[in-house]
Amino acid sequence: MQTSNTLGFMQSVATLSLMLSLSFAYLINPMEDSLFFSALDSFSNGLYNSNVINELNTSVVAGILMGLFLGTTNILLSSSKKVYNYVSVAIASFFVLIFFGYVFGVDWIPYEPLQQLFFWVFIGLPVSTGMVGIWQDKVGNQVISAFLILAMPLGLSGNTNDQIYPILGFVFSYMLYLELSYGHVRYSRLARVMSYSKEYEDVLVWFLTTLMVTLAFTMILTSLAFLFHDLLGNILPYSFSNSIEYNTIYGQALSVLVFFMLWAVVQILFSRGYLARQVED
Amino acid sequence: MWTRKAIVYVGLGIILVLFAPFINNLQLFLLGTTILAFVAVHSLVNTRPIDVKITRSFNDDQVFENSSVSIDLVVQNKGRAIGFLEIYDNLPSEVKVQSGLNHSVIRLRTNETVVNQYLLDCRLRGQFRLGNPRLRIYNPSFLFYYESEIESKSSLVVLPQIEEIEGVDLSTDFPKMYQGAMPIRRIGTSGEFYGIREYFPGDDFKNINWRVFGRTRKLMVNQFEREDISDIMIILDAREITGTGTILRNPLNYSCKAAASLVNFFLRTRNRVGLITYGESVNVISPDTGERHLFKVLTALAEVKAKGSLGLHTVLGDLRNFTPRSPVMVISTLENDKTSATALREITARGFKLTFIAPDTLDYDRDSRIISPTVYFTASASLDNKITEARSLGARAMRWNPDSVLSTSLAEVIR
Repeated sequence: MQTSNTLGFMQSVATLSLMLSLSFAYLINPMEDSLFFSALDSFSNGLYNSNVINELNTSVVAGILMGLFLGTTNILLSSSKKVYNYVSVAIASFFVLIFFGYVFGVDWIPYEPLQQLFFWVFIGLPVSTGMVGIWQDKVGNQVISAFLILAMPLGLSGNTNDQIYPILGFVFSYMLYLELSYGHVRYSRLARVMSYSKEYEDVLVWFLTTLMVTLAFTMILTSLAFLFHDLLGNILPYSFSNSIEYNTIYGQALSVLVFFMLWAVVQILFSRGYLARQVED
Repeated sequence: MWTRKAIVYVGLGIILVLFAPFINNLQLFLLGTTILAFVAVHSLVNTRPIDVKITRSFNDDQVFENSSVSIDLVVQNKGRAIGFLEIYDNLPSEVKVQSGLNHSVIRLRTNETVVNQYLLDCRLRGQFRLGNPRLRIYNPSFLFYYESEIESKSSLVVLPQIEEIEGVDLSTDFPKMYQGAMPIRRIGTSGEFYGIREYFPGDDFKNINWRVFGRTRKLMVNQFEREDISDIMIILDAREITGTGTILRNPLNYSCKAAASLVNFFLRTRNRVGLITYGESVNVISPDTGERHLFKVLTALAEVKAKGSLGLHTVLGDLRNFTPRSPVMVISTLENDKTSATALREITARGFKLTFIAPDTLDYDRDSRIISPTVYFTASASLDNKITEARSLGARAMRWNPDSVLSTSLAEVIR
């Protein structure tokens, strides 16, 4: 019972992190700049000959809530395969009928509210997909959701150090989502094997504690990797450290890679027993 | 060892760090750096060498078929604390876990000892080796793992199941010098009633049957059977063909069960029993008595494997020194044994009192579609012929359905 509570807690926190990471993603990259929504806008423009998306409400919160609603409904409906199939067919038919209604010029269908709902469904798509991944232990859904969180808000305008706090918030919640959702898949499978025993509960607690500690250390190490760029700037010849290339994000990227390369070398040199055997008979 | 997740993380991290500058995206760049940092930090968590000792103990290292044995797997941590330790106890396929688990995931603190207990269902006789327990150490986020085997092999002997046999009368015409418990239908001093006769002067008064005297007014005395130690030899067919069928239901397993039951019965009644097995080679256990001898025979029966194709005639040489006119029991189907007719004739010609038991699994094999109906009819007819042939030589022969009680089937032929 205790083990299932911990597993439930992991799922809840993973869902929360999923919603948070999507919120931060849209906070960092405004929807107007999003390549995905620009493409959707162009597509709907071509289809309906009117600028549909620009007239709609682009509330991210509403989209996330819509995703939460759809994800929950999906999970609840999945408990019965028959009901799930019927509802899926009904929803698909509903949208096809609306589309045909539009093509044949049926006036009484409220197109605008439906388009609004549909748009929010798109915004909340990573949440609804991710929720299925978290609550039904589907790694494929988790991967798709993680990809959508990164790809959907992505624009070409870029972002700078001014947005460092939302970026850090995004990175933290995104990592938490990835780790807890995937961790739940693995640990819940083992919990079933271990019949939710008390000893296993200990392993779960260790995982959660270690995750929090390692995430904190990860943030510290990320900062160190960033600071390493400045350190490298001091060590390297002036002409190199003062070059345009070095002082852009390209230079920073290379510094980060050099930092982790050095980390790997140090680890290989100083820990001979690293991941080695040495298990006593 | 790196897991697939770790490889994906490192790949994704590098791609993000290298791709982010192209779109001037600090968010992706930081995410890539964080992912790389996460892997770097995790390479230090739960990946250092461990020092674990595992010992396995049984509540009984000799158990009987269809019984269970409790196993204690003691895991002792002598090194650093381990957050995630997966232990898998390597069991042979012939045994099944009845309760508990042979697979566990635990957290071990320094100097902590954990006992994992589970119950094994031993459904099949044999000598089994329980392999080395396997260990797997994961770091908490499943990025790195290490697998190892700890030297802790144990052997478990599952003795064939013994069925209680009552009142099997295998009289011998050649009793040994010392009295035993095998009734030989001769007048003696055991408690078993033999008959009555007229009283002669000198007869013991306590043997007078007063009830008969009251009825007939004649003095009659009770006579009792004499009981003697008898040498009994059991010949077991362990040729490859006896292994036909399923792992649990095959003629060899049933033969071993029958042999174990008979040996137990004869030894319990203070007789001397020997065992000859033939198949790949001929193995002889000379007749002897006692509890120790019983376990010697049972262990030999547990180790018998269906191998080779030696015929019944190969045991004739070993029977040469066996007590003449003693009971010899052959447990075999004699299938595909061209020497069987000659061998049976030779055994009876030497005056041994032959009993032939043929464990019949043909019905089961046909119903389970292990053999075709044609093969069933051929094999069944062949077995009937062998039994008729043995009976014609004066042997007591029976086709034993292993689902029926052995002593009941034996009683039918030893009437």
